[in-house]
Amino acid sequence: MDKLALSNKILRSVDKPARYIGHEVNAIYKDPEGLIRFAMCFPDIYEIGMSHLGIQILYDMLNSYEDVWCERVYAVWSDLYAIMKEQDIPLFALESQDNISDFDFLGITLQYEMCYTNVLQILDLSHIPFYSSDRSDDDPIVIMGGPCTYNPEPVADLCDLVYIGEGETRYRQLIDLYKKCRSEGYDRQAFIHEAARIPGIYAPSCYKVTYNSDNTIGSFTPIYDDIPAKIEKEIVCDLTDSCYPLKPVVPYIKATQDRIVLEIQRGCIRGCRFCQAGSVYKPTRFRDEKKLEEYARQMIANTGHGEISLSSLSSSDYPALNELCNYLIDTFSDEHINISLPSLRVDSFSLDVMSKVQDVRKSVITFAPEAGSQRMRNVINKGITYDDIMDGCSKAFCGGWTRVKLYFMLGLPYETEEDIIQIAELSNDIAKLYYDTIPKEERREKVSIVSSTSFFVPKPFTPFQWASMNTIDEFRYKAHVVNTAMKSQLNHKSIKYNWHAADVSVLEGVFARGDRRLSRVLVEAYRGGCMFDAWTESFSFEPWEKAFEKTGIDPAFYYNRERGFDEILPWDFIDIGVTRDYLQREYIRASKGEVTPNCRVNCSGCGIRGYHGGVCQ
Amino acid sequence: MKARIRFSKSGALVYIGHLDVMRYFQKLFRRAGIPVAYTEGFSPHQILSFTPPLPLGMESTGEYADVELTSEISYRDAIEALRAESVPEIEIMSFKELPAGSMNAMASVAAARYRVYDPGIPACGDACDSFMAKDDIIILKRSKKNERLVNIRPLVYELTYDRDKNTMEMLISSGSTDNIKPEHVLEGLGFTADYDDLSITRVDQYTRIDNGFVSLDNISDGE
Repeated sequence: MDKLALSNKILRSVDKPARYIGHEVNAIYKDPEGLIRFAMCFPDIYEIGMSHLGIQILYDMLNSYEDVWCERVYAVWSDLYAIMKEQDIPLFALESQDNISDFDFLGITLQYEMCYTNVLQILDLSHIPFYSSDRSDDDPIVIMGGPCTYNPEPVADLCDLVYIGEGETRYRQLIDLYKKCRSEGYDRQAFIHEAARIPGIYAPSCYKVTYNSDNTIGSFTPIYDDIPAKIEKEIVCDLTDSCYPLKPVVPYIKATQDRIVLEIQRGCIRGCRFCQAGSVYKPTRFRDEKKLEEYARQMIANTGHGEISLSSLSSSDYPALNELCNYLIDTFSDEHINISLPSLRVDSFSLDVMSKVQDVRKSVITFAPEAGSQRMRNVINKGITYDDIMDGCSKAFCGGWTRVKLYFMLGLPYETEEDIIQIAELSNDIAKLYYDTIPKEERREKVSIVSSTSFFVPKPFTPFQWASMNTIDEFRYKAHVVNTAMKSQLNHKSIKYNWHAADVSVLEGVFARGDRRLSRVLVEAYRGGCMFDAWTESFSFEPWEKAFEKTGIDPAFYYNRERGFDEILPWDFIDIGVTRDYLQREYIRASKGEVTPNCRVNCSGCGIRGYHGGVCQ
Repeated sequence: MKARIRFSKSGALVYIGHLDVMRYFQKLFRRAGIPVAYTEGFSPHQILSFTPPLPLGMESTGEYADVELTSEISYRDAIEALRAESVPEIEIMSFKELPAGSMNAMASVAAARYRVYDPGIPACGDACDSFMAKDDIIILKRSKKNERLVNIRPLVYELTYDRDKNTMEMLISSGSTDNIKPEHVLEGLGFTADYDDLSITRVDQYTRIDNGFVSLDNISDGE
């Protein structure tokens, strides 16, 4: 019988017990004797965590080291959480089913702010103290990474180390250092200090923060002379020759991404001013198309998956997209393997590819204009025009499509009521275009436009990092304005309007640009019952309000306040390559509605050239 | 042409559900390069038929799936490929061609044999004998929608207890009509302890031929 951490009785009583048993195809099992034990965690449930490519890459890479066994751990769903708390059952890794507290490292990826309370669930169930300062030599080293750690400060007190940048480059060095420290009479704090000397590794406890009387940061300085004041992000310069998980773990239960993922490029040549990914993942790097063909063949053979998807930002900018799509369609359609396309710029090429791989009648054309008016699209530097959208829709309608999805944001800097009303007008124009383009006798069905708005959250390392974010009331008012405008459109019966919850967005805004004083709020919120905040059904704003009150922290200071260019921002100690000076210039250009061309058209001197990789070379 | 696969389910994998097992086999067939036939249309799927779902948490040595193939294969090579690609907890026990016109696995099942380890019933052998000696054993059968009284005795074909191994074995009705579960028999025997603590295995599944039961693995032209 396989070793399982949970009893039969528990496994029979919880929803989807397969989340907790491991033993999947391609899961890695090793004899733990003498190995460094690494628990890699995605702090959400199994189905979501298993869909994440980054974890798959690191799992594969760390297990390629003979002296390391990397296992997986995910948040447990509320039903099992209650049982584990009540019966005091410690959290375990999926493969060995051993307690997380016995591991050397606990790595946690932070993909979205609303998973922070789940991080506390992981620490709590693992019996690891919440605060780094309370941990002993016997506790695992808690290291966090992922996009949210481009501002790690809100979780600073919860982690021992933070990996800034792409995970492929520094783990070998970190593990070697750990082994050396272990062999020489281990002292936790000494190891953390030594680790802080490795490029890309940030140890929050090795930096001291002071505050001004107005609560802004007064100084942010290392407490040792031998660690850097500024930490440069790590990147893989050559994607083609970097490691890739050709034998990814195949889940039994249906994961959110139940398919093979081919990462075609990293970074983005576009300079959308609201987009953090576009900034922090620069420079744009491509993976060789021939290599991807080879990966697709091997991964299908190794997993048996029936679907392949491509992953990147702005996939239409991948130079060999045409060749790759045609190869995948030609090679795999006879084997009944579906090709799932990323959201592509809508043009003749993408419509042609789409019609080959999916049922036109059922598929949806997606646009992300992000703003309703051309003026606002210039402010945010979203390089898509009214004519682009109309032209794309017209081609799609002629090709047989009748369903269009549109994504917008509300609460962008310099936005007026007139701008957001144009969201409704644009939706109406597209519906009208359908009726103008397709003669009555050729219309198979009514056109369907689904327009969704999310609330804009200013993110670190974007030109809008200094901007004010709207309040909950402002957001609700704006959604109301758009909704009313939608209803007054001639074609309103063909349009459906959805908007996001405002309170979650505001919390996201607090933690996106927060400082290390927020770690206490997270602990209070978790104690107040917050968990799975990214899940609508389990989110409640009230305990959050109480947590802010109890810790004496005003959320508006973090989300609503416009920062001055002279203010020290909590994430200023990180160097992502794109300079503060460039971001500042872009913020000013935004205020004037000036467009900045993409990297391929013209170099705007963002500073990333120094990294010697990708399109800049 | 059609083929039938017999497989076991054990260890941690007793906690993966029926749909997960189906998905597992779709991927296994692809990894092993078995030429499985697909349905037509924009979302084609493999043509597969499984025996009735095994309850979550139960082991089995007698699960079956029928699969439609597009071309002749060497069964000896195919079973080797399937075994090489399968996890140890799902063991491929056999893979055989089905004669044309056979009923599919799901529809064929008429009975199933279960083995209960350490049933914890006092004087278990006598209890089994007396169970089989009666004409009527009435139990309350509950479903999500309703509950009703059922005489399960005619649906229990064999019930024995092996004192040396401390195991009970039962052959009971299974399938779309007159389906009963091992816990119904345990209830009829007066078992009152916690059912979750029991270790039960589905040993095999059978089809009815004339008046006897024949394992689904025992494929003959006369079916």
